[in-house]
This record gives sequence, C-alpha cells and structure tokens, in this order.
Amino acid sequence: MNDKNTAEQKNEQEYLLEVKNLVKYFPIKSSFFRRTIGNVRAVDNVSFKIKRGQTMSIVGESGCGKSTVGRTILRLLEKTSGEVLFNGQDIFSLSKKELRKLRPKVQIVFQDPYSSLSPRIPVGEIIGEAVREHGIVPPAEYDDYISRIMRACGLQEYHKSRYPHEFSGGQRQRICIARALALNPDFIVCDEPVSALDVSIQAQIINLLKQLQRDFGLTYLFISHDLSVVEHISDTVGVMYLGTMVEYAETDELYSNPLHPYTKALFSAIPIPDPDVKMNRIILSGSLPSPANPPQGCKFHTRCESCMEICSYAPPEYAEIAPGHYCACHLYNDEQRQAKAEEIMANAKKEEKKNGKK
Amino acid sequence: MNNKNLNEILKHREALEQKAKEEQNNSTNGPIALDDTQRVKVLSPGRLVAKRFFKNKLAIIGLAILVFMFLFSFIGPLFYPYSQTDIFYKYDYLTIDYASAAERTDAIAYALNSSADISSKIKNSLNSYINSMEKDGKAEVSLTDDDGSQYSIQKLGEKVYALFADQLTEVAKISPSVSIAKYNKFSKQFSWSSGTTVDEGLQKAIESAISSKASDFEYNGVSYLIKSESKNIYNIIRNTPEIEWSGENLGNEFISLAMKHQDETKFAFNGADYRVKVNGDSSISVSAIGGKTMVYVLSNLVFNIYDKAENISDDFKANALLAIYNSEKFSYNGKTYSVLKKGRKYEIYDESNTEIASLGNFVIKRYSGQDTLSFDFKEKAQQTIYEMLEKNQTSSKFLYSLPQMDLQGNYVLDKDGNTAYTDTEITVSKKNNQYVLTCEQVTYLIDIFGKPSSKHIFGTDGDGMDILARMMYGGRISLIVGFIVVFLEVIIGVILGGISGYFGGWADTLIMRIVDIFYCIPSLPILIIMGAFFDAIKMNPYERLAWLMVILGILGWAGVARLVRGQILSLREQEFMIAQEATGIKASRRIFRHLMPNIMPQLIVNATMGLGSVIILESTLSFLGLGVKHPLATWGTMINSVASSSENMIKYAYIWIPVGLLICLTVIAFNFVGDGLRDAFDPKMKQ
Repeated sequence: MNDKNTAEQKNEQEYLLEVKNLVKYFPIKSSFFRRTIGNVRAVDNVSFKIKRGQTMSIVGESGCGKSTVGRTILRLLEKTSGEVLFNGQDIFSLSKKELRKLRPKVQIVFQDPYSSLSPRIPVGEIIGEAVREHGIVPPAEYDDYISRIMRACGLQEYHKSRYPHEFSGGQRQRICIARALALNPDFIVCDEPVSALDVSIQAQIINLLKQLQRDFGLTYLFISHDLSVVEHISDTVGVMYLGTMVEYAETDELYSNPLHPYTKALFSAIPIPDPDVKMNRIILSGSLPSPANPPQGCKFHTRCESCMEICSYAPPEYAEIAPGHYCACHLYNDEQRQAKAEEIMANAKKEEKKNGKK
Repeated sequence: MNNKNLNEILKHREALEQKAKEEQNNSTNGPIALDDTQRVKVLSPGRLVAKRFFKNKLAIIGLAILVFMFLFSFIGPLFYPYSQTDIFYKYDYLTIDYASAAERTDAIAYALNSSADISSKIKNSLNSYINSMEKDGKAEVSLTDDDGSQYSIQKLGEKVYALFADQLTEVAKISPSVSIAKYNKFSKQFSWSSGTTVDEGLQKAIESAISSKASDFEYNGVSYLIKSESKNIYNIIRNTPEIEWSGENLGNEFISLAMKHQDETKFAFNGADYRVKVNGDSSISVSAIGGKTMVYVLSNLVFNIYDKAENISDDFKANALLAIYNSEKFSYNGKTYSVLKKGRKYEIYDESNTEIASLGNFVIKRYSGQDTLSFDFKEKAQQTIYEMLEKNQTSSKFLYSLPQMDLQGNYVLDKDGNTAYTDTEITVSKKNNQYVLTCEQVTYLIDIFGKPSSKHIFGTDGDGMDILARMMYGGRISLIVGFIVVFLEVIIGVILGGISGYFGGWADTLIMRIVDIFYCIPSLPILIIMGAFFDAIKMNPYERLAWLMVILGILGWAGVARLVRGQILSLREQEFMIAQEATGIKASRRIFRHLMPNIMPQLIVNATMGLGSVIILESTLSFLGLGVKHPLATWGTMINSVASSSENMIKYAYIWIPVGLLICLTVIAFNFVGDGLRDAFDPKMKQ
C-alpha cells in the first residue's frame, strides 16, 4: 500500500502536466442559420506528460494545432473532450473561481510581442496588474517586487512607467515573460516566443527562459516550428501533424533517431551550417490537408514517402516503440497492432465494396 | 512552492543589490549610462497626454476658443446687464398717423325742444329717410310712427334738415277701472294698491258690503265691485273711470268715444282731431292734435368749437343751423349770433364778432379716436382738404406747431418753462374716403434692428432684444445641447456597442440590426415632424428643448455604437486580451482597464467632433424653425431671424455675421481640440 502510494505520489510529483486524449474541434457554422456544418479538427486526440522542471517542445508545421494545444491546456479555449491534469487536478473540471485561483500558476508567452501588450498601459502596470489582483506579494513590497521581476527579466526599473510601444521586440518579449513570471507560475506555455524576433534576440530570449527555468524551477511547454531552437531548449519533443501527435521522445533520442516519416522529413529540413555538406532533404509532395476534412487512415499518408496500402485505411496507433519513444506509424507496428490495423482495413474495404455495388 | 519561489527571488535580488553595491564601490563615480533613470524624465500617463496635447498649437487655439466660449456663454450673462428676453425701447422720429379726417355722411339730430317726445324707432331711422329723400330729390317726406304720430322731414338747405312733429295738447287723462285694495276677511286687514288714498269711510263701506256678501256697492257716487279671489280674500275694484281734465270738461260722450277709439289711436270729436294713447299704467291720454312744430334740426355739418370748455347746447347748435338758411343771425339766451358762409364752411360769430365755432364737412379726430385736437388744427386741416378737393389732389401738406419732444422722450421747454412748440409738417393724404394726417413725431418705439451702439454692442434684433445678450444665452443653449446630446449618444452607444462587441452572438446580431435601422431612419423628416408636433401641442420652449436633446441623442447613437463595437471586436481578439485572461484578471477589469482605454481616443475624438456637428445640427434645426423656439435664444434662431431674404441678410449683416462666426469658431475649436486629443492620446504619435 505504502509503496503504491509513494509511487503515485512520485508520479504526481514527477509530472506537472498530463494531457490525455485532448480533442479540440472548432465548429464551422453556416453563415445564415448558424448551424454547425462541420468541424475543424485542430487538436485530435493528443496525449503527453511533462515532468516538473522540464521543457517539452511541440513542433510541427503551421496550422497543425500546436498553439491550440497550448491555449486549450490553459483553458483559454474550451476542450471538446479529453483531460488536462495540472498537478493532478483536471483544469476543465474547475469552477470559474477555482480557475481564477489557478491562473497565476499557469502562464503563457505569446508569439507576437507587439500585440500581446496592452498599448495604453505602462509596462509596470502590465506586469504588476495581475500581481496585485491575486495578491502575490503584500502591497508594501509590490513596487520592489515588480522591480526585481523586471531586473530578473533583463529590464530596467525605469522602464516601469514606459509604454510598450517604446520598446524593441526583444524587450517586449522580456516584458511578456516578466508578466508571466511575476505571477510566480509553475508552468509557462511559450507559444512560439521567439519566432517573431531576429536571431540574436532569439538567443537572448531563449537564454533568459533557460535561466529563469534554472532559477525558479519553471516547467515549459515550448511551442515552436524552429527545430534548432527546440533542440537547444527542450528535454522532450513532440511532433504534431494535422492535429495529432505523431512522435514523441526525449530530445536527444528524437534528434538522433527520428522514426516517423514526417519527423524524418521535418528534420531533414534543418539547415546545417556547413556549405560542403550535401543535404539529403526529403521533399514532401503536396500541401497540408485541411483539418476540417482530414484524410482517412493515417493522416500523413497522402504525403508519406513510405505509404503502404494499410495507411490509407487504418489510423496508426500512438504507441511506445522504444522506451520513452512514442510514434504513430504503421511502419513500426508489432504483430498485435498490425492485426488490429489489418482488420480495420478489411472492414473498410468491405464497406467500400458495398458502397461501390450500391 | 509559492513562498519558496518568492524567497528565491528576494534572495536573488539581494544578491544582485549586493553585487551592484560592490560594483559601485569598485567604480566610484562611474560613467552615467545614457538610459539612466535620472536622465530620463518620467511622466505619468495623464501628464504625458497633457504634455502632448499642450504641444499642439492648434489644439491650444481650439481650447482657448472653447474656454472663451464657455466664459462667454456661462459667465458672461452673469455680468451682462440684459437678459435674453429684455425688450428695448427708444424714442425716435417716426412718421405716425396723427389724425384722421372723414366727411360726415350721417346727419346728427339737434333737439330744438328738449321735451319733445319722439320714439327711438323714428330717431334711429331719420338718416335712412334723409338718404332716401336725397336720392329721390324730394324736399319733404312724411313718416308715421307705430302710435300714429305723424312726422315730416323737410330739407331746409344743403345739409340741413328739420323734423316736424304734430303738436299735441293733452285734454284728458282717463284712468279706467282699477283694483284699489285687497281685503282679508279673516285678519280684517286691507292691503291698498299703490296710488290709492286710504279713506276710512270707504274702508267701512267695503267691510259692510263684504259682511252682507254684496258683489257691488257705491260710495260717494263711485261704484265698486267686490270679487272673491280666494277664501276670505276679496279684491275691491273701482268700477267708475276716473277722469282728469286738463282744460274744459268735454263731457262723458267724449270719454266714451275716447274709450271706444283706444285701439285706433285717433278719433274726431266736434270737428277736431284727438289722439288716444294708452300709457304704461293702463291709463289713457287723450290729446288734441294741433299744428306741426319743428322738433329737430338735422345736419351733416360738423361743429368745430373754438373753446371746448364752453358747453354749447344742442339747442344753440340747432338755432345756428337754422340761421344758415334763414336770417344768418339768431339769438340764443338773449345774445345775438351771426352765421357767415366762408368758402365751403360756415363760421359763427358772437356779438363782439369773435368766432366761436365753425361748421364744416369733416370730422377730424386723433387717430386714437379722442377729440383732443385744437380748433386751429381742425380749421387748418379742413382748409387743406378743401384745397385738395378743389385741385383734385390726393395729398397735401400744411404746417402746424405741435409740442416738441426730445429723443429722451421729454417735452422740450422754452425759457419760461412752458412747452415749446415747433412747426411740424403735416401731410394729408387721401385713403379711400378718409384723409389721413401724418407727421413725424418723437415716439416711444421698440428698438428693432438697432445698429450697434454703446448701449447694444451688437445692436438689437427684430424683437428689440439685445443681440450680445442673446448670443451669450444662445451659446449656453448650443453648448448645453451639444454636451447633453453627445453624452446621451456616447452612453447609449458605448453600452450597446460594448455589449455587441464584447459578447457577440445573438446580442451582436440584434444590436447591429437595430443600428442598421437607426442608420436608415431619415433624421430630418423625423425632426420636421417632431417640430410640427411640438408646435401643434404648443409645448413650452424649455420642455421642447429637453425633448429635442433626447431625440437628437437617440438618433445619433448608432454611429458611436458601431465605432465601439468595431473597436472592441478587433481588440477582443488581440493577444493582450488573451494574455490578460490568462493572468486571471476579472472580466470587468479587463473591459475597463484594457478595452476602454483603447477605445477612449476614438471615442473622445468622435465625441468632440460630434459636439461640433451637434451644435451645427441644432443651429440648422433652429434656423429651420424646428429646434429651440422663441423666446429662448440660440445661434440658429438668431440667424434665422434675419435670413428671410437676401436683402435683409445684407441689411442686417451686423446680426448674423457675429453669430455665424460664433458657430464657426465653436465648431472649429471642437475639431481642433478633438484632433489634439486624438494625437495626445495616441502614444504611438511622434512627439
């Protein structure tokens, strides 16, 4: 009993965030009667866990649902189904009051530092507003606290009374980070925090994030499409394609041994800073299918190099291929999974024939 | 976890501070960085906006104009002596209708013998008889009254007529049978009829007659009838007529004849004619008809009496008139007077040959109807009119000295303290059958369209009201209307636009359709209908003003709502709003702290510009007569009052140009300030 308890506790302690089968559909409404005529499957059955104090990255093409995952986790968007456990607590089961209490623990940094700061409010107020609202520090310490936070994020104290438009992109992103940090969060979703910045600033921001993680034991969910940045910052990486997680592994494992054809194609696009190296790029044909009408079977099969017959009928199972390395691809099916997939394919074919006859 | 983190931060900070101190120690008087706090002046957001605003020269000009307008409109009237509804008067030379002259067409009857008794029916119809007489060219006409009296009208000469009546001499008065008393047998009391002399013998005779139940009795040769009226009450009636003879007793035959001819009014007895007249008290008068006598002298001529204090009787006038066609001389009260014809008029002189009156054809009166004109004036006027008639002119002039009045409205006095007279030119002009005598006189007038002067800096308007005062009060109303209407617009617009933009969904659809409807409403026709309706129910000006503001507000909110909705819609989806949501700030705070400040600049600019346009709209409506009504002043009505024709607009440019300038300046100032505020509010503006 004791052992089990401690194990559970350990588990709980180990994983700060657990996402189980998260689904987020955006309904498509007809323009006139406002009837739902379809769904955009932005996030379709995504599961992952993040260990305390670690950084998990989600990579993928534009429009594959990375940002939606990030926002749904924070309950900025309502889920369609699934579970998000934060510290073992289901975020979606919270009442509005409880959610408001939880808000400071879970923060987000957005991609665009220009639009994510309220233009008419001085920086000190932007950072401190929620601090005051949640009573993070006693009122007497408030001013000093904001100054400290700002210094910690590489801002000067006199920036407090300035307006966002007076800052450069990098500084603004620091302000965004300071705003998130000031609430003393455990977990920060970084939604492409550096993609709007130029490279030198990117490095500063990445280093700042890393430093803050070191200093304050933060946990990050780092959403990016920049693989080199991801490699630099993350402990684990998940690859998303068309709303589903296709591969998940620790960073080193994934970068050295990508399994999924999409991951391979993606990684082959990382530029190597050596002009002599002949890059062996995998060029994906076609474009990203519409998430409102994803392909049957494996979602990637329309663009996959090693597409098999089974791929267009049976969706591959998201399974642990190697320890800590998850992948959803029929290439790595064990017997059991293969059998299941073939059965699905056979049924689908029968159905097709029937329909064809009719 | 929480506290740990905070502690760590605190420690971290202490460490940093220590480091910083060490660094400072290491490099004392180190170089000051460019972005040193001390070197960068930090302003609070409000002060920053103010600073930006005050750097804008146009905005300052606008603000100065607005401040001036406010002082002018709200403080000005407190120090200005006149109110918007004060009407000013002045004394000024004005050609007034001084008097009128009209030929008298109706003859007026002057009684020769004041005791003559002529029925009013005849009196009232005398003129029509004379008219018909003149028409037929007859010299005499006879008329008969209802009671058979015979009259005749004779023309004595031009414009002089005489009325003759039968001369009556009363011969007898017959009082027929009459109730003399009522007797109450029970209480044994008499109630005597008026005019009956109480006679004890008669009383006893009645009592004895009643007690013997006789129906008649005789007493002193007079027979009486007793009639039982009701139980115990008897009416005693004298049965024998009582006859009073004025002259000789003509006998009972005469009486019975008279009684018989009661209804025929006339009978003959012994070759003479008699008239019977039943009087009011049922007595009968019998008169002998003698020859005709002159009762009235009728004339169209008008007496102009030299000395009004001298009361000249009708008798005198009648005699004077008779003298015209008779002996030219007459005596009255023992004095002899002579009547002489001079031109078209006659003059009456007394024994000492002084003129006491003249007879003319014209009635000359003051225009007010009072007969206060002097003899001389009337004579002169009459003379002028006669000359005009001779020369066949329609207008002429004569001089006459009238009391002089100065421009302060006081009579001018001469050295001796008497009223000074000046020769005034009096114009006589013919209008229809009348002659109007006009002259220039100092008159108490409403000072309309007064030119700018030291008393009225901008002059006075068509109602004699001070224009500067009305400009102040008009400004008050224009500004108040502007502010209240814009306030209403903004309140409704922000609430509905805010709901629409922030909550979206069906509320948005509904509100936006309402906005569409309000955009479709043609506001001018509605305002015209409103104005007509308010006119119809005669709403008082203040109530009307309030309704006008409400209606303008209701008609104008749609634009604000759409602006706010658009702004909120775009802001709501901005990442900073999501970020604020993620930090767990309350929705109300998100709306008021983050959404509103972003809408404010547009809203303020919109409202400030709106103020200008509302003032223009209000002025336009007032100009069209649909807005604020007299006596309330607004700039629009003030311009309207002189805009009836382009001629007036040129003539009274000193009225509408300053008012128009005020409207112009105010609207421009609001626009300047609005622009200035927008620039100041926008932190992205380059300084």
